[in-house]
Amino acid sequence: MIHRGIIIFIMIPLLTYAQYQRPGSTDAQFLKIGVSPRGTAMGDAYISVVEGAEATYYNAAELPWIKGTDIVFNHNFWFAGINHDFVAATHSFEELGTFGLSVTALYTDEMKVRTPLQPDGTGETFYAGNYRFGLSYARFFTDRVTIGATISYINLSLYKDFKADAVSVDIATMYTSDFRGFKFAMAITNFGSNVKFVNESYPLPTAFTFGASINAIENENQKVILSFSALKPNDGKPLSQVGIEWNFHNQFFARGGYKINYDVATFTFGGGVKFSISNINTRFDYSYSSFGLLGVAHRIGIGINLE
Amino acid sequence: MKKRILIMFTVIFTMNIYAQKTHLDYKVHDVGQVRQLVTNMGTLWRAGTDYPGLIYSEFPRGSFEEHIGEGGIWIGAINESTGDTTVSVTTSWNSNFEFYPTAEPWDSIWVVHKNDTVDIPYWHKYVGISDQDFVCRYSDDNLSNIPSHKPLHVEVIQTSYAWASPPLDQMIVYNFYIIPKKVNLRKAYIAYWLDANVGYRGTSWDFALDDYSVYYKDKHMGMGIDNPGGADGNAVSPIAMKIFPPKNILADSIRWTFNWYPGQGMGAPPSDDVLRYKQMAAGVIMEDQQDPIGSQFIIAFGPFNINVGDTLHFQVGEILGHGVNGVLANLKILDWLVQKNFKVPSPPPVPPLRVQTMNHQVILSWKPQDGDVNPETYFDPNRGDSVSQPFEGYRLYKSTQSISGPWTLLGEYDIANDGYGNETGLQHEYVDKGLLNNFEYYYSVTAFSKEDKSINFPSQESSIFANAKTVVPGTEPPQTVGEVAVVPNPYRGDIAYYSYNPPWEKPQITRSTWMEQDRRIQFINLPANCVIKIYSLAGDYIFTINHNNPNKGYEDWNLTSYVGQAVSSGIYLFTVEDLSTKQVQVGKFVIIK
Repeated sequence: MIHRGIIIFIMIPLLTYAQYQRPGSTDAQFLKIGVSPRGTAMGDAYISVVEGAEATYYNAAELPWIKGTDIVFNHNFWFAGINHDFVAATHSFEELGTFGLSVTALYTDEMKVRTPLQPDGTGETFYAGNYRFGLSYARFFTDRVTIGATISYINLSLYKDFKADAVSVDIATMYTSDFRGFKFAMAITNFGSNVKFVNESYPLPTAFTFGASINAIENENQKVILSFSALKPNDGKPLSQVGIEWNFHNQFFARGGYKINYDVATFTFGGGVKFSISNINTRFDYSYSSFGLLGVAHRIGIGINLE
Repeated sequence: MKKRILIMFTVIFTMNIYAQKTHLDYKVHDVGQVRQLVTNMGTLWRAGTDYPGLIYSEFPRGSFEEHIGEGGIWIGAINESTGDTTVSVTTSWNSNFEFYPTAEPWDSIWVVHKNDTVDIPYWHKYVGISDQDFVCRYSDDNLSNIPSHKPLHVEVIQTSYAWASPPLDQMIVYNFYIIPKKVNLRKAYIAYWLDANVGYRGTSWDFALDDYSVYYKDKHMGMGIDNPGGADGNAVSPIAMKIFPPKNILADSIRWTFNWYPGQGMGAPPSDDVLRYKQMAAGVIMEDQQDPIGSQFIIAFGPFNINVGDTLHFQVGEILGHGVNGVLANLKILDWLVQKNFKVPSPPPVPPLRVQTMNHQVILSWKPQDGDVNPETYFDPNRGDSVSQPFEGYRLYKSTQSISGPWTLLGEYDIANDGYGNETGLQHEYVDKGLLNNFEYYYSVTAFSKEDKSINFPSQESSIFANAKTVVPGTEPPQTVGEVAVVPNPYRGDIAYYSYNPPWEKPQITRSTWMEQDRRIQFINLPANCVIKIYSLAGDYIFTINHNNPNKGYEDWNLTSYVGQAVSSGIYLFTVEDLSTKQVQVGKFVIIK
């Protein structure tokens, strides 16, 4: 605990004074968009709260705590006709550790090709898509500390003949305590190669994230989780998030969150239900995220767990 | 060079402290083929002003060929009251700036056109001589904290002339009126200091290090010539400065000095006033410079006794041309011009050009209406013949590149059956069709005169540049948002958009090389009053464009963020909020670089 406190102490001034802004200077921006309706409902203060296969995206160090097999399907109605999907599966191998596979896909609707000579359209249309294929692995480091990593292949297709790819690594760790479910987690995400289409090369949106969560209320019928996280992206100012989840009988969930220091994202909320059918644990989640003039992002997800 | 930099820094620092005591101004002569900077500190380079350009004396126009690093006069004299020998310097190596205007808002550079009359506080009822007169005033005692400066308390009124048409458009004429205010000046000498930097203005100073100085003794003209080859290639034109000494003083009593300085650590004007005065009064004509390592020279003349209440008037001609022979040919014309006291035929007034833009076309109209200056009825008292209405016709020009040209002649219309010109008949309207929407096109209409057969003076044409207009065909702004789109989409970094004709992207006017910030995407179908915000795919704020124009339905963006940095390839989001209806459209576009 002392060492962890020292780390936090050292980290605070670093995050506070790193104010250099470089908006739009990194590529593959879809890697910065939250994929989980549960996570985004909590303002993306999710790194230490994440459960199930979504951990392959948010914090691979959570994977060892998953029992059996977990599968998740999430859909995000992003802006301007853009669709954003996330599919992941994890499985626990007793002594070997836990593995996960994940696919993130973001793709536009059909767009008109416009040129300066034909600004109303050449008659041609095109789509743009961003994809990520991830392989995750995690294991216990001690009985309370877990460590995980995800290696990803990223493919960006913006127009015919204009594709680029990159390889990235996420590394994460998490500490789980017995005290009111307190968890602390840290991760470095999207650390990898640059992206180049024609002449210009741009880095991936690497970020350092840490967060903590605790069961503020915990009794037989309900549980309230409070969570906080902060991240330092390589293309902007430090950001932080706070989230809350209310759990009733482990069947009904209500969630809320707020994003601090973001340009347009502010409050979020959502809910979910969980039930069991023929020994298959199933969960449905929904979230609402406000993005100012851009509008509102709605996310829905379905997940199953087979023990 | 280090000392010069130190002095420069000191001066700039001083300038910031005492800026409230002086009103610095600059203007650029731009009606002819010479684009020449003039400041009201008496310099032909930016000196202490905030002129943003890189080139001070460009010829041919639009060529990026520079000719001047520094230019301005020195006034040296014995102060009758104190007995001191001092030199007041507008600009020089090894000297502070010593001439400044006052802080009055009108003590700037006045612009007066030919035959116009303006009331300048220090020159009532000033009448314009050339197509573009600049009038300014400066003195050596307006700032009292110039280090090592002992003022002569002398005021200088400077006028400069530029002409729009051949054969006068390759020269500038400067008049200097030297007016002692407090003490009589004894044995005064005037020097014109020119630091000639001749050659293509690239990114380094190498273009200035292969010039040399030449003097034409019988013409009192110094010339800075570029040595062929080197970092700047071959220059089109040298630059010459000719002195026209005061008319009311016997030529025999004037002593002339030509002194050139090689620079590069091998010779420069002295910083001490007495030594500087001695050089000005030396009466020595140096041999022409042989080594082309840099051209800096003074032409000095005197002595003059100028009492308080007197005015010493002399003129300086800045002459450019195509090669040394071109300069010498222009010199003949200048001599004739000065001899005639600038009373030569002038072009007609600029025609009133009206432009109407439509979808894919432009209607140009230049028929004079009530209230307009009518070029067809102008009278020219300086003609040698007896033609009472010397207007002959109009010429319509078009450019797809820039408002500085190059220009293509679209049409010429002159009075039929009068024995001059091509007898095509007059016309006052032109419709240009098949244009690209939201691209810049440039048009100009000029009026030209009949040639003066009596004094063998060519037809004079009004300035293309004075009447040039930027025109953008296109559709009216729509009622509200909903149809806003981004062009090009996707933006493709593999296409050389600057090579289109007309160009889609173009360097800023101060550069000739395309750079990252010249990229261009355009938001089209914008309502009259709206705000565009651009975001990264993840919702990070990138940039804002405010649009408030009922006649224009598009705005450009150069693909840089609000911190001025280039943005990456990828998908971007934008919002357009119509400020009138509060409706918001959310859209997307793709950038590939």
